[in-house]
Parts: sequence; structure tokens; C-alpha cells
Amino acid sequence: MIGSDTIRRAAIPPGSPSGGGEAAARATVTVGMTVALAAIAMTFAALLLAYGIVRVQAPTWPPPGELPLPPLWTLRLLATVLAVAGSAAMHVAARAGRTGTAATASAPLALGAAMLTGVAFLAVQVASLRALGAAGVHPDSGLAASVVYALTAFHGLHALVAVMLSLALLMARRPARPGRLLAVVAFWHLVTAVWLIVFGAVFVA
Amino acid sequence: MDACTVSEEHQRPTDPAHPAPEPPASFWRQVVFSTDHKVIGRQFLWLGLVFLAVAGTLAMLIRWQLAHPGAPVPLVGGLLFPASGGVVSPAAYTALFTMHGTIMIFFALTPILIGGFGNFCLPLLIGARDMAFPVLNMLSFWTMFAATAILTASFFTPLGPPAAGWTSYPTLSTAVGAPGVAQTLWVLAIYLNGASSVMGAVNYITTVIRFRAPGMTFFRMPLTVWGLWLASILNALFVPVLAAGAVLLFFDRVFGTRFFIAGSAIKPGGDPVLYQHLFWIFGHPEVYILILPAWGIAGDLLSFFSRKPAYGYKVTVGALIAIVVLSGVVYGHHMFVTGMSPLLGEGFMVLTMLISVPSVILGVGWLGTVWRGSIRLTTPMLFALGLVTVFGLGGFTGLFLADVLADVYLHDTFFVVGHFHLTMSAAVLLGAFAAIYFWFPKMFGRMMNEPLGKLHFALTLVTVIVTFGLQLVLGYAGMQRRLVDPSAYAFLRPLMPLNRVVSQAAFVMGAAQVLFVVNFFYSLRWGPRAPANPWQVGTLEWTVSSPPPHHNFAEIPRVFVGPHELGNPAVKAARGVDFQPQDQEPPA
Repeated sequence: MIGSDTIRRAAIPPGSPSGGGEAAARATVTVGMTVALAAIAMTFAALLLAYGIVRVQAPTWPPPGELPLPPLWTLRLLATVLAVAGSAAMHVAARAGRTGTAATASAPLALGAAMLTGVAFLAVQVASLRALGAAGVHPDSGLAASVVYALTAFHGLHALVAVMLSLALLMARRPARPGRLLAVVAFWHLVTAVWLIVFGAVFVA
Repeated sequence: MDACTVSEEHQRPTDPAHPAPEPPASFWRQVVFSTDHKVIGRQFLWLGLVFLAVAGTLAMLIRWQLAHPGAPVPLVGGLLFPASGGVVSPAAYTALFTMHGTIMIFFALTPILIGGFGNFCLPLLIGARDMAFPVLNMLSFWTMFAATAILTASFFTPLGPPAAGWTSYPTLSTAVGAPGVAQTLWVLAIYLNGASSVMGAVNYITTVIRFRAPGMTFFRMPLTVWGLWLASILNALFVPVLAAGAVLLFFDRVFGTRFFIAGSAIKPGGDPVLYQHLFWIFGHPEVYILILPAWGIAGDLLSFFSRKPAYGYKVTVGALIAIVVLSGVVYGHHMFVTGMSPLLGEGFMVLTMLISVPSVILGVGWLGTVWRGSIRLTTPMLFALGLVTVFGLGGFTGLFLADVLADVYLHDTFFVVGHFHLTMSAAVLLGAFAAIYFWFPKMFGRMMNEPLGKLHFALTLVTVIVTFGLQLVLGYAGMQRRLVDPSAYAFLRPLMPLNRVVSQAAFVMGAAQVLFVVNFFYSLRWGPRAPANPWQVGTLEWTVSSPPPHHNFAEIPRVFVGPHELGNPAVKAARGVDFQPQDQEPPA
């Protein structure tokens, strides 16, 4: 039955989403970044699921016939400390960026510190892969080695992107657009969180 | 300029201090590296149509081989297969069906519906001036372009094109099963294609959440927007799972890791079935990623051309959401024959069967919309009705495949081929044609030829049903997929006449598409100029000129009503037309 009751009278919600302005732009970046981070997190979740499946299926870990991997505790712990330190520095940068004015000056400093820890993290990861190679463990040595090489490399690529994004922020001549710093910080935190999970699930467990 | 650039300033209500932004002046910024969603939408459409033609041609070659195994392909055989004297060799045949599936799904249907119409329609239909992140949107297209370039390159590698099927299961797709660079290029192309889809999804999801015009509540959005938005959510969540599978396959092929290579007594290894899990966790949502926009478009068009509100609009939206949720938990039905636990199989069977509940709700909504409407059988309406018909046929056959016991027999037969072509290929293709005929006037400012469009529709619908319907029969009779020569098997030889009928129907279907190509190009150049609102409907894109101006709306519209306010006597009495534009206050 068609009648005028199918037409709901004009109701314009107050404070509708599209109003323009800096706060609105920041909110838009937040939504976009949330979706993007969810997608990246799903990639890592799927990789960890794959690891979980092969590990559960194997009677022992490493599977029978594979030599145990050198634990490289010093390098693994160093990487973990650097990842957390980088995220902490980014957190400081985000707070400086958010409060603005006087505190803004400390943002480049914090960003620079985060970048340095990021570069150090990458160096440690490369060193860990070289140490595995030196111990005779290569990507084709077996399933356990495959997991370590693939997760370290794919996560490392994301850490590299995080470092490059921070570099881009530092090099920008104009002050960052609203929300951009927060987006980079969120990405950095995700990369750190993934490393913590990988550390726990692959190296500790 | 970076990917985080927000077009928020474009969304500001217009006042003398903030006029609508001017279009860029240079050719490169205006046509090639444009950030205008309408230009990017057209770029995706062109790319998708070109690859639709390529994948369609591959299908014709497949059908030639199945109808006349061992006979040289007429006309082009010598050119395409010189080494075998124009005959489709077994290696060439596996490459043909691999590339046909890969291109159709990832490089034709996805770019046309989600890339093309998603980009073009989404901001216009919700009253926005552009996507939330225009630069990211441009990057999404050029990432897709890079993916197509890499996939095209894989055709010309020394050991031949990828040939591990569109699913690229290990062991076929490992360095052992597929030596050579082609399969690695396939993996890269799929990864980049996924990256492009995720960039698009970030934009679509954000734009709908943030950039709806004042008054455009979620339940005033056209169903097209709902379909695209929900498909984008699935894209953002599940394409990354395929990406993970692609990453591991890439590592296996290039660096020698052993994820998908089964272990042996002398060398430990992984599990080929692991890839199937990753592939189908993505793969089942993918079929809904393809069909959701088409469903949305059908829902809108059936209402528009029945001159009635969509029947059960909110229930339809609820059904779409239910299907999105269920699509994430049914992937196991693709793997019933991998030796999964019977209990797990039963769980997947029940969940899969549940999808028929929201699907039937959608069907009831469509029928209720058309019921006793003042139906206008325009070309877009015909294609929308065709979509519903073909999807219905294909959907019912899904019930057989969802059942574990029936699937054990039907798995890997042409029954599966017929089923998924009807549901997620032919239905989606008909939806794409509906969208093209409907929005062509808005996209290009000219009308398409109606009689030619109707002939195109009639030929396409009949041949689709004959081709894929008979494939169901072939599969039921026991003919497996991916056989290069069914006549080599005594028990399949009696099916050869049926195979020839399928091929003849497919050839007519292919030939009928010439009508579309002629209509498209003729109308582009010589079609009558399109008025702003040729179909007499109320959604926002029809309130602006055809094609819309740069940045769409001189002033951000205010929305008062839903998208399907048609046939209202009060509106007719007050204004003399039977539709209520969304941006006009309804009569008291």
C-alpha cells in the first residue's frame, strides 16, 4: 500500500557528519586508518593462523626431522625492547602533536627517536636472519625455519614502511595535515603489537 | 599530496568563502592521474571492459576445445597456438581456464562493479563531492593497473602462462608443480589486485560513514550504496587473508620455504591443504563481494522501474547484513572432500544452508517490489529481472553443493561450474550490464540505444541459461571439470552432443556481446543527449546534470526522504510527477 505515510518527514540530524573543518578531517582519517589497520591486522592474523595450523598438526615442534632452531635470545629480546621503545617515542610524538603550541616542538624530536629505534630494530632483525644462516638454518631447512623467515621478513617490510612514513613526516616542509601524524602513530603501534604477538607465539611458545 | 589527503574541505557547505573547488587544468591531472571519483570510476570501467573481452575470448577457446577436442581452432588457431598447428594442447587448455577464471573474477567483474560503479556512484548517491581520500583512490586505480600489467606479462613467459587454476592450489602452484616465472607473476598480480581492493574499501567505508549529506541517514541510502558498502567491509576483512596465502606461496616459490610442500620421509615439510584454508576463508566472502553490489543495484532498479517503493527495504538491508555475517563462517563447504572431520563438515553444511534464509528474504523483497507495479521494461530493468532469474536458478543448485553427501559426488564436476557461473558470474555480469545501461547517461551524458539493448538482453539471457543450465546437467551426469578432452573417456563420450550444444550457446552469447560493444561506442559518440533525469527517479545523482559537474553538487544537498519514493499519490497531486527527489521536501 503506497501512501504518504511511506514518506518520513524531513529530519536533518543535528551535527551531521559532513561539516568540514579540522576536527572533521581528523575524524575522517581516524575512520579510514581504522579500516586500513584492520585489513593489515587481518593479513598478520591469517599468517599466524597458518602458523597455528601447521604447528598444531605437527607431532612435535620443530617437526620430526628438523633440527631445533638457535633461540638467539639476545637478538630477540633486543628487537622486542626496540619495538616497544619505538612505539613509546611515537606515543610522545602523538601527544605533542595533539596538544599543539608549546609542546609541538618536541614532536620532531620524538619522531626522530622513534625512527632511530625503528632502524635499529630492522638491523637486529637482519642480524638475526644472518645468524640463522650462519648456523646452517635456511628458509628451506624445514617448516619451523620457514615460519621464522617468512614472519620476520614480512613483518620487517611493515616496520620499514613505518620508518619511511615517519621520515616523510620529518621531511615535510609544511606542518602535517590534521590526523596524519596520528595515522602514522597508529600504524607504528600496530607493527609493534604484531611483533609482540610473533615474539610470544613463535619464539617463546 | 599523500594518501592521507582528505577531501573534507570539499564537503563543507557552500558559502561565498568556500565555493566548490575548480577542476584541475592540466591534461595529466584531469584525465590520467585524476583524483576525481567520476574519472577514476570510468578508468576502472574501461579497464574492466577490456579484460571482460579478453576473458570472454578465453572462454570461447575453452568451449571450442570441449565441443571439438583436437580440432584446430578456426581463424585464430594458427596465430594463438602455432606450435600445435592451431590445436589447443593440454598445457594451453589448463592455461586457458586458469586465466579465464583469474581475469573474470579479479580483473573484469571486480573492476567494473566495485571499481567502476562503486567509484562513480557512491559519492553521487550519498550527496558527497568526492571520496574521503581522493589521492588514495587514484593510487587504488594505478595499483590495479600495475597488477593487470603484471598478469598480462605472465602470458608471454618462456614456460607459458599460469596454469594452476584460478584457485592456484598447491601442489600445482608450487615451484615443483609450476616451474617458471609465470605463476610467481600471478601471485604478485593477485597481491597487488588485493592491495587495490583494500585501498578502495578504505575509501568506500570511510566515505559512507563520514560523507553522507545532511539527512542522508543509513536507512535513506539507496540499496546500491548498501551493497557496495557491505562488499567493501568484506573486502577489507577477507582480501588480506588471500594476501597472506599469496605471501606464503610467494615465499615457497621464491625463497624455498616449505609451507605448502608436503613433507616426505627424507625432507620435512608443510601442508598443501593449508593454502586451501587461506584461499577459501577469502574465497567464499569473495563471491558475496561480487554479488552484493549487483543485488543492491537490482533492488534499486526493480523499485525504480516498477514505480513503487522497494518492498521491505529495511528487511532487505537486514538480509544483506545477515548474508555478510554468514559469508565469513561457511568457507569449509569448499573443502568437503579434503578429508575434514565429518562433524566439522556437518557444521559448515548447516551454516551454509542457513544462507538460504536471508537469500529467500531478498527474493521475496524483489518479487514484492515488482508485484502490481507499473512496470517499465527498459533495458536496465530487463537486466535486473534477468539477474534475479539467473541468480535464483543458480542459488537453488547451491543447496545440493552445500550438502556434504551430494557434494562428494558433485564436487569437481561441471555441476559446480554451472552453479558458480549462474550465481557469481552470469548474475554479476547481468548486474554489471544493468548498471551500465542505467548509469551510462549519467556517466557519459548520452543515452544508449534501447532496441539494441533489449536484443542484447534477450540473446544474453537465453544463452546464459542454456550454457550454464546444461553445464549443471553435464556435471550431474558425471563430467569432471578441467578435462582437456572428455571424449577420451568412454563413459563421457555420450555427453559430447550436449557439450556441443553448450558450446554453441556460448558462441551465440559471445557474438551477442558485439551488439553491446556497438551500442556502447555508437552511443558514446552519437547517442541522443541525456537529460538530467531520463529515468524519472529521485536519487541524488539524477538531481544534477548528465554528466555531473566537477565536484558534483554546487551545494551539498539536504536529504528529506528515502531513495524509493515512487508512485505516491500526494506527490503526484502536488507536482504532477510520480517520483519524489530525495533532496526536495515532500508535500505536506
